[in-house]
Amino acid sequence: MSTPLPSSRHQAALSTPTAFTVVASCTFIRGDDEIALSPVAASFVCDRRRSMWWSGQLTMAANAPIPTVPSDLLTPFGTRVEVELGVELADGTQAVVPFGVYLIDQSKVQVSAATRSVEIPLIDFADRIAAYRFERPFRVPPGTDVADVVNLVVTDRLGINPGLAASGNVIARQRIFGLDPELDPWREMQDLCKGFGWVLHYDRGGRLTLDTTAVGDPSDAQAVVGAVSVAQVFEKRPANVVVVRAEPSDDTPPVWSVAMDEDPLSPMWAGTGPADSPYGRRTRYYASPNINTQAQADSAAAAILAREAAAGATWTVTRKFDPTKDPGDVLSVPVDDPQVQSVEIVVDSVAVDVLGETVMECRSLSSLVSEEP
Amino acid sequence: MAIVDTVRPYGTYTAGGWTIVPSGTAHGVLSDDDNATYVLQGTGNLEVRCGPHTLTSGYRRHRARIRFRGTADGSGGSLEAQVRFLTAAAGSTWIGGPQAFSFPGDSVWTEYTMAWRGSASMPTTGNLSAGTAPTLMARFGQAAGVNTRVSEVWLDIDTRHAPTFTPTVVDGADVDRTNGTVTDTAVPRIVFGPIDYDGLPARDWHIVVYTLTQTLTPGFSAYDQAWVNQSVALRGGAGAPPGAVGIPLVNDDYVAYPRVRSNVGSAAQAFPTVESVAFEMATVPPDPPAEVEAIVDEDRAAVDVCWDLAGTSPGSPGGAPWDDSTLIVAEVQRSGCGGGDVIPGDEWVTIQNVAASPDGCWRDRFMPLVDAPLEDCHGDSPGDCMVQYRVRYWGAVGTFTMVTDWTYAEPVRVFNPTPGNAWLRHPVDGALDMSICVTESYARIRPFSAQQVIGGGLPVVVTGDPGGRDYTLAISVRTIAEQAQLEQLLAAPLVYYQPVRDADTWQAPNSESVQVVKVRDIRATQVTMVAVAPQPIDPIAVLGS
Repeated sequence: MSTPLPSSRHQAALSTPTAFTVVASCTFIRGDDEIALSPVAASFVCDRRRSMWWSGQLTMAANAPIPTVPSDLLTPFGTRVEVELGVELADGTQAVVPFGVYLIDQSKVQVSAATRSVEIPLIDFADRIAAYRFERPFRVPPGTDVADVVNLVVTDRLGINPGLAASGNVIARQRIFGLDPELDPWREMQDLCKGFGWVLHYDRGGRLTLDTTAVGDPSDAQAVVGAVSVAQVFEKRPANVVVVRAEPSDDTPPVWSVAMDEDPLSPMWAGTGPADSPYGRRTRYYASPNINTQAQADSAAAAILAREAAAGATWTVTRKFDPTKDPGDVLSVPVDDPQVQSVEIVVDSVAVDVLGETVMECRSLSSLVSEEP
Repeated sequence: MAIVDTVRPYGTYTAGGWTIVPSGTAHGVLSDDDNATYVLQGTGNLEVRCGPHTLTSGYRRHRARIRFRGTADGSGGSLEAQVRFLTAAAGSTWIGGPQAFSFPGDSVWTEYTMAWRGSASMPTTGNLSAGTAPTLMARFGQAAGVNTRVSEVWLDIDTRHAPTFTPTVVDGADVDRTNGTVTDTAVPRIVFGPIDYDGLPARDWHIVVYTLTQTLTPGFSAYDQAWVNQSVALRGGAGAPPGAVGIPLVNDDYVAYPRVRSNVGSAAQAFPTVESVAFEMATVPPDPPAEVEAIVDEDRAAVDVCWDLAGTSPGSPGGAPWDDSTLIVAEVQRSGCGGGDVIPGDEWVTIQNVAASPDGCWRDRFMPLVDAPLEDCHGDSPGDCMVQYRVRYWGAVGTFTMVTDWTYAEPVRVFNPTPGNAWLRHPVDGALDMSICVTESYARIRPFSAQQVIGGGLPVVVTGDPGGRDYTLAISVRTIAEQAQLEQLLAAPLVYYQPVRDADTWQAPNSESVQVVKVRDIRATQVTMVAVAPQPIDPIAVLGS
């Protein structure tokens, strides 16, 4: 959920039609080398629809150290970048929040008579796990909690136990990582977690996190004050029937589950018989080798259906600088319409441009959670 | 309470090769209560129509079963019994699977009863006459053994009534306000009360709320989808409803329509009951600040306006409490200097909204305005005058924003140490104030677009409220020190600007250009600014602490 600035006064400034100064601090760390720099331009994206949520782009000031050899700090050879964004008020006080931990993906230098710039694209810190491929198969015994599977894999790859708390879901059979040469450890862990209805990602402070795929609770809605623009497009025909099939790789009996929108008041009601539903039936199939039990299949089908039920409309909310919103936040956005004063939507991605605006891509709340008309 | 009706055979759909003993029709011998007449096992299925059946008002068919009197000789026999539904269009369909019965071969007539059956084929509604179709049927098949016989048949139909309940609306003190008025909360709760499902499983529940005006519209139908789309609120869920459902509502007259549905017919066929509850919402807002005080700081030419929630109950008797009293916003207003021609009359002007501030203070930098025409930057009137402040709260009550009455401070006398000059003040109190001789202009900008529709004519204009007064100031100073002081002040992200004869405002400096004139070393600075609100302040508990 949203990460407010530590000072309520600074936080309030984000929703006040006043003037303030943006603070953007980037700390570059590799081994014992560490340097804090303020970029002249920067943008960051946190998008929960991607397997790696975080990415960014920095433009450093002309006085930044020019990278010339791989051992220089501003190069894509293991340098970690910790970003903090926030607000400075007129009295000089600052309040910042972390906005992701990244790896340098590339560094581009241009020097001319009129130009001296260092462009640094950033990539999610998860890339470090992805790059640490298994040299030999890594086995996790049956009965291991999904969170502990992640703990074991990350400890094996990075030497650091992320200490994820137990999820309550255990794998039914032995899980062997590193068999598929097309998959990296991060992707394999993502697939495993998804099969249990969890999402694995790094949070804004650089901590590995296991989240549910909850679709948003309208009671958590935060009123958005000062939205610059709101755009919406109905561009999809979301599924109202979800079929989940297990595709076990051994001789375990297959399981499957069907979930459908059964609310006759829903515009995507699947109906009980042919032609009952004006919308018809749109069926989405999902298959995973990681689903082993009926309960797991039922849970996955319900979760996918709940997400699908909200996928009909994409909303784009633009407001002035705001680094405090997180994917999964539920927003109540004014649309200035006499019939619909505001809409409740859930954030999928946040893109912060420190020189411009903050753009949030959102989707409607699931009708399976909210029954507001 | 479930009602079980029993019907008898009245017609034969198919004899199936069964023998009628001694003669007549299958349905005749199976409904005459005489063991001397019966049907003797055949090679096919014997199917007899049973009925007629008239539903008790408010009831629907849930399930059915067959009772029959049968026997066999010698080494015994067996058969299968099954309930079927015969329609004119689609033929006969099963209502549940068949049940097998075995007879010991003692030649003794014995009554057998099959388990209840139900399925999607059960005609849950509508009366069934003793015609050809539609009708319920009893079928006997798979008969085997020695002289397997059936002499009488009864078809039991289990009927159930719709869910019954008496909903109410209760206020914040759990007092029943059905057909009454809710005053102490903005979130009345709809209580379903005890629900009699008549033994049927709960399917789902909904509450749809309309204004009274909507319900009086011709053609209104509470659960028609087109009307549901226009409803004030809709709540619902699967299974049985919770004990009470809170729904935030603004003040108006309402009718809520709670609906409970059970599953009837053993195949999840919805069996609804819709009730209605009328009530009025007249939520009384919480109390205003208990005290407001204005304190003049003569050293800094400012006034501290302080307010206090202490001593005020969070919600007057009969009024609604704040959802969270620590998050309420204090709106501070000031009246003009009374009699001035710049702010006509004693017009009240909002000077600050302080967030999360049940208790707090705001430092007002206001300077008295001169009330006489000026020449150059000299003036000595009025120098001082009386102003008054008032404060009220805004906050959430049941997710809606409500506002309290005003609480007034005693009027205070304020003064302007340099009447005739404008003032630029640094946002940090006491950091830097400048009394300046200024030439000013301002513009008010609003979002605006005019769109010419196809075909011409008058355009459609999309517009919004204008912003504040965006000032452009021409400031002349004579010394380098003064110029440095001015630039230091304008380096702040926003400044407080008090014009000579106009309302005070907060401005964000956008650009400044300086022209140095050789004559008398005058430095003329041109500043463009954008009107903004002041930055948020920290709530400071002053009174009552």
